Amino acid sequence: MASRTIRSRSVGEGRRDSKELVLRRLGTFLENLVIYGFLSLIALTVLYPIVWMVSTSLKSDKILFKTLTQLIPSEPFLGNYKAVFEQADFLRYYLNSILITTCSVGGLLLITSMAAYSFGRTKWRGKELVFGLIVAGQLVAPVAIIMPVFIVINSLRLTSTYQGLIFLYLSRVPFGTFVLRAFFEAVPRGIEEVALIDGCSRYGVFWRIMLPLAKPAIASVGVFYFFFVWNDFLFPFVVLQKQQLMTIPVAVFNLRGTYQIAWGIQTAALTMAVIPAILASLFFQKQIVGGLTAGALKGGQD
Amino acid sequence: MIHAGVELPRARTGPRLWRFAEKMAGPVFAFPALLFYVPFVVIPTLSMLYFVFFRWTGTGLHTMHYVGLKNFVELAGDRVFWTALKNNFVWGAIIVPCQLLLGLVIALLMVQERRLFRAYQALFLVPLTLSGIVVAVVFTLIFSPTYEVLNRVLRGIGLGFLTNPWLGSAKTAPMVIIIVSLWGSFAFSALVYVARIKGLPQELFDAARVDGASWLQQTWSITLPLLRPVTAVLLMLAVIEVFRMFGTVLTLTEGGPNNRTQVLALYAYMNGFYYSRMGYGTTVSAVLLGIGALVTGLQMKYFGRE
Repeated sequence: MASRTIRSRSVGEGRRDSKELVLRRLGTFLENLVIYGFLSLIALTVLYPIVWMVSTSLKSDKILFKTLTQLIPSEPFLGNYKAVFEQADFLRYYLNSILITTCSVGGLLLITSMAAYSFGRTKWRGKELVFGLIVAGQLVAPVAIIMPVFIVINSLRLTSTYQGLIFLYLSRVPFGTFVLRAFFEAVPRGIEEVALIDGCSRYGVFWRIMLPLAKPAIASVGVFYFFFVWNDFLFPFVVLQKQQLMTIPVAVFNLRGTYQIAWGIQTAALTMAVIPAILASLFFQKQIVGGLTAGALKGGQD
Repeated sequence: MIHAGVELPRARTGPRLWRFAEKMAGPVFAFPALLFYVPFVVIPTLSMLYFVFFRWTGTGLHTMHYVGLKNFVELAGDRVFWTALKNNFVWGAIIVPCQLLLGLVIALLMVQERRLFRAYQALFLVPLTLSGIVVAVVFTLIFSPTYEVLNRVLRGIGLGFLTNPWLGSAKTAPMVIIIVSLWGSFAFSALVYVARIKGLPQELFDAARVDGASWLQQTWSITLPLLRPVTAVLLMLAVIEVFRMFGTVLTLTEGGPNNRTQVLALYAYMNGFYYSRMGYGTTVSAVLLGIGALVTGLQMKYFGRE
C-alpha cells in the first residue's frame, strides 16, 4: 500500500501543507500496522503447534512435563527419535508410505492422462455416458461409501495388502481426468492431425506429443495426488489391518493409543511424519500452490 | 477421427489390425481408469441402495437379513444420528463462513504485502500440506485437559480468562474441533483467492486509480464482485469438506463424551466397524451420500464445471 501512497502523492498538486503530509504518513503507518499485525498473528497461529511439537520431541521424559510450554528446549535430547525408529519401527512405515504413494500417484497420472485424452480428444460411441459416470463420481465422498468399498476389497481378498490399497487410490480418477481433459481440449487440433497424416498412430500421438505437452498440467495433478495419498488416513485405516503394513498417518494415530503418556515419542513420530511435507512445501512452493488450487480454480474436485 | 480420403500408411502389423486398433483407441484409453473406478466407486455406491434394506454384521453374506425399511425407521428415532446431523450442520455454519472470510481477508492483505509475500505464502502452505490426522494428534496434546498446554500459555500471556477445559468437556470440545478444522483449511481459501486476485485484469484497477478510487473502493466494487464465482466454488468445497469430517473428530474426541460430538461419517463408520451393524451404518452413510450429492449437484448446476 505504501507504493500507492507515493503514487497519489506524485499525482496530487504541489500545494500541500505539512499537516496533511503527517496525517498521510500516519495513515500509511497504521495501514502497515494492521496488515503486518494481522498476518503475523495468523502466521503465529500456524507456527505455534508445529514449533511446540518439534520442541517437545526434543525433551526427555524427565523434564518434559515441567517445561511443557518452553519452546526452546534447554538441553536438546534425541532419545525420542531413537525410540521412534527402534521401538515404534517408524522406518517400516516410511517405506510403506513411500511404496504406496509412488505406485498410486504414478498409476493415477498414467490412467488419468489416458482417460483425459480419451474423453477430450477421441470420439466413440458411449463416450458421453461413460464420462457422465465419472462426473457423477464427484458426488461421492470416499467416506460415504467406505463400508461397501471395504466389502468389495474383502471379497476380492485384498484386505491387508498393498495392492488393495493402491487399487483403491487408483479409483480416485475424476480429479485428474477433469483437469487434464481441460488441458488436452485446449491443445490445437493441427498438431495432432499432422502427426496422424504422417502415419503416427493414436497411441503414438498420445505418448510422443500429448503427454510431453501436458507436463506442467500433469505436474500439478501429480502434486495434488501426492499430498492426497501421502496424507490420507481413511483408506489405509480401513483396508490395512496389519500393523506392519501401516502408512505414516495411521502409524501416528495408533501411536497415540500405545504411548499415551510418552509425549516425547509421540511428538518425535509426528515430527518425522511432517518433515517430508514441510520440505516439499519449501522447495516446490509454486507447483504446490498450482496443484492444490488447480481443483478450485478449474472447478473440478475429488 | 480418421479423415476420409487420407491414405493411411501401412503399419508393420498389417492394415486391418492397425485400423481396428485406431478405431478402438478411445475406449482403450478410457479403460484403465474404469478398471479401478467401476469396482471401487461405482459398484460400492450402487450397492448401498441394496444394503440399506438389510440387517447385517458384515461377516459374510449368509448373515444378511432383509428388514425392509426398518433401518430408516430406526434412523428417524435415533438421537445420536440427529445429534451427528445437527453437529455437521451447526459446525459447518461456523466453519464455512469463517474459513472463507478469513481466507479472503488474508488474501487481500497478502497481495498488498510485496516484500514478505513469498514468506507468508510458504508459511500458509504448511497447514495444507500436512496430514489432517497428524494435525489432529498434535492438537489433541495441546488441548489435552490433563496437561493443559494451551491454558498454561494463555495464563502466561495474560489471557487467563480464555482458559477452558477444552477437550475435557462436551461444551468446549466442539470449539476445539472447529478451531482445528479452521487451522487446517483457512489457508486453502486464502491461496485460491490470492491466485484469483493476481489473475484479475490489471487495467480495471489502473482505471479506477486514475479516477481516484481508494483501495477500499477498488476492493469493494472491483475485486469482490469479480471473486464471486470462485467464492461459490470455495463455498461448495468447504461445505462438502465439513460433511466428510471424520479423522479429526475420531482423533480429538472419538465422538464423545456420550456421542455429544458425533458426526455423520464417524457414526456411520462406528456402526459398521465397531458395532458390527453394516446395514444400519450404510443407512447413515446413505444420508451422508445424499447430502454430498445434493450440494455438489447444486454446485454443478449453478456454477458449471469449467
